[in-house]
Amino acid sequence: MSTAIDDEDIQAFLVESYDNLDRIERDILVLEETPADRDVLTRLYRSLHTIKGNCGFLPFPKLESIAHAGESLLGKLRDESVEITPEITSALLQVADEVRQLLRGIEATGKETGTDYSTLIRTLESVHNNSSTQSSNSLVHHKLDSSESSEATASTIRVNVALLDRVMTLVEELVLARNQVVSFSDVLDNSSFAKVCQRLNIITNDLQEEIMRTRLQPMGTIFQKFPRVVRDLAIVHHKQVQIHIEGAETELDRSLIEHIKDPLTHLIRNCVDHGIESTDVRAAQGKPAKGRLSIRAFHEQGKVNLEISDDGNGINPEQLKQRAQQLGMLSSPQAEALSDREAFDLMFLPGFSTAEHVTHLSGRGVGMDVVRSNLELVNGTIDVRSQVNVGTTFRIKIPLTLAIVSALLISSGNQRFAIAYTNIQELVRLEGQQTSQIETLYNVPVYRLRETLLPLVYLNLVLQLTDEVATSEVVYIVVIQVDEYQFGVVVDAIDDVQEIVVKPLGKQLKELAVYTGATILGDGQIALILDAVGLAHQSSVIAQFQKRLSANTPEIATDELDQQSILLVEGPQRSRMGIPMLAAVRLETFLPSNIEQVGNQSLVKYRDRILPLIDLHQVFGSSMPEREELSVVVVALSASCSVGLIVDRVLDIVEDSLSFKGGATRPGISFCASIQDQVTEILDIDAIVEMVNPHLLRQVG
Amino acid sequence: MAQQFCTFYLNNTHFGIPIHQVQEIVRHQTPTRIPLAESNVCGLINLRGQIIAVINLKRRLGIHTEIIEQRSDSVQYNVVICVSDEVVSLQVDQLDDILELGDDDFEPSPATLQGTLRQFLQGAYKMANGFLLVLDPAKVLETKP
Repeated sequence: MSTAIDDEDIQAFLVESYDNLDRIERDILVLEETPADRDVLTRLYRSLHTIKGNCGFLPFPKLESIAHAGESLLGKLRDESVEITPEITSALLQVADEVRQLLRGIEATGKETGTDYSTLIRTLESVHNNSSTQSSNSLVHHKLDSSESSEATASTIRVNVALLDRVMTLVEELVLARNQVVSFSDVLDNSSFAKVCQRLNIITNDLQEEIMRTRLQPMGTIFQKFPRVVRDLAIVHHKQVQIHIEGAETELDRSLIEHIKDPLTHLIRNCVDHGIESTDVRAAQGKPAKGRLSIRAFHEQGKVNLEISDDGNGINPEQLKQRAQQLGMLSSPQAEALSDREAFDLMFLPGFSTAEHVTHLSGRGVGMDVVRSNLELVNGTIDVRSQVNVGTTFRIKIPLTLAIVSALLISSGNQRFAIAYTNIQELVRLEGQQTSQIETLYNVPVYRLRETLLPLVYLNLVLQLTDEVATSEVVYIVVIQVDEYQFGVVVDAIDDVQEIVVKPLGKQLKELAVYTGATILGDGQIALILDAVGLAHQSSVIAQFQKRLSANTPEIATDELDQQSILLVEGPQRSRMGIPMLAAVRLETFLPSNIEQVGNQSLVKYRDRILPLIDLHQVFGSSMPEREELSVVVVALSASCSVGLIVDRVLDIVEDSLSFKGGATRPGISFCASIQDQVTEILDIDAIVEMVNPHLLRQVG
Repeated sequence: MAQQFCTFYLNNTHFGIPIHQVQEIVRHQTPTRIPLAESNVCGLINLRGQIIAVINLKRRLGIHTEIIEQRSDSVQYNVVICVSDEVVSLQVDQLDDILELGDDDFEPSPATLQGTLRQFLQGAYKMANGFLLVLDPAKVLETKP
């Protein structure tokens, strides 16, 4: 044993051994399924033998002896058609576990840890001692040596990740230098120089692409752990689960693979834990005894798609709604109004758990909200489809790489910023007269984008670049979608769409949630990349609009509900009336000629249905005025039923805690409140509908 | 054991950083401002394709004075330091020599120093013309939780 064993040798040994160990675990599980497969046994034997052989060069006698004991058991199994029993596979898995633990110890301390493994070794011996012939070991050795050398000549090499990252950085710099050279060529107008530039351009592009590809890894690197996870979990829960993996060769950026490992594991645990039923329940339902869990990875539209599905009991959206109500996250009318899809989304809220009992495997405080936020970190999305008693499918979409994203470059306050294109819904340009369509309302500027109320955020104010909104001829609005909420970011100019390389900001700036990173532009200048969610939080847009779903705990929920957005309208006799924004879906204007009278009801064709209209003048008993056009607030009574309230004028949208309350003044009013120091009657929508069109409410149920 | 220090001046006070933690020195370049960042982080610079934060060292150490602050041309150099894989640039007024100093002259931070500055120091070296204050880069880069 030489003393010249350095860290590098140990590191190389560890990397190789972990690889072998992963293969071993996989093969043991395959063996359990197909005990007759001799090839698998040979492969297992070879992998364990490699670990043992490597130990011989390093001072790890314990590891060597465990590997040896395992190897002799495998040798036996291989040479003497011994039947492979669950005890044997369990013993082999135990070997794998112990080897892994020893390797971890070596990784941490550089030495073997002091545990005693003689019991395990004895177990291994006793397992195969039933048949006690000592045969043909030497022959096996011989065969193995020849096959191992063929493996060594494989066409792959190991490369240090840090080196790859550095090469990547250098290529990015090359791209910048290329950009500068190309811009020279435009100025110089020299045809041979232009030709060289063109070549440089092509080569750089190819180089960049290939380097990007070196960072891609097949999904299989994380998938390979799952059979073991599922097996162990199934045993604990006395369930039978068959795992199917498809698309393990689908490639994804290395850093992304790390990020999605935990969320994926959590989802898989969730499927086995809560999804797949126990064997007798399945039998009673006429399902095959073995539950099916399938994982599928594939590329689609430039994204990696992952599907995790089980054929278990499914998720009942009604139960989710009930649970949300118990937790005080939803009021019952809100719950009623939710579609099944929205109900499934509830499970991703913080603090939401449907499990009756927290098991030690899934439900250790790591909820679906963490799964979603982890995926959002890498610009991923997740959605759920489920049918009761048929099964559940989680579908995850992630971009191929994090390092390069398509982004919109904008400027604000003489500074350039980038916004990832994935967050952007559309761009709006307002000129001259149109700028007055931005209603500068009390605290919340709003633009009516196709009659949806789009809250606006002035980027230069949010980032404190300037103190006041400059009045300009042209206004650019970048419409951003965060979860289900839209808001508009007002910027000074929209410059360009570019593929940008995202670089992290480092520890010094980590508390700034407004940025996801920074990038170097073609001219070598730096632009910060804005984070849509962070921006929304910074400007408190989300706080106002996410009321319904952001509730963390019941207390917070009530706090937030207290602070309400109220749509102020002018009703009969110029009275100020308020409609809670939660109820108001849209603002529309109709021409009186579009209104049709059927019986005593006013109806208007609105999108693909007929919208009943209620004039507030009719409700509060004053004569109906002649109007050129009708301002209508569309109010949702349920998911499928809406009603339009005709108001005289839409005044404003305000945030108010509604703390100065007074009793109802007349039927159709739920209470009075002092908003902006003026008494405002808050409408009771249900009561109004009841007064004018009770039939409608009966439809809603 | 003698140690080498990269030394510089801030407000005419002589400071040093252990040289093995200094990656390089670059001339002043105008950093890209980071809106909403703390005032002691002046911005970002592009160092051969790597984006690094620039720290106003005087502000970070709490020894800035508003009068000197206004003469922003006083910032001449960026000392780029690397502490456990974190690369950050520190703005300094004036660069001085690399000094090799023996342990004999080393003293713990003088008790008379103001509180804020003291927490960033490893100690001080007695010099012919006063003291060289040695910064602990890890402490300088520590961000408040």
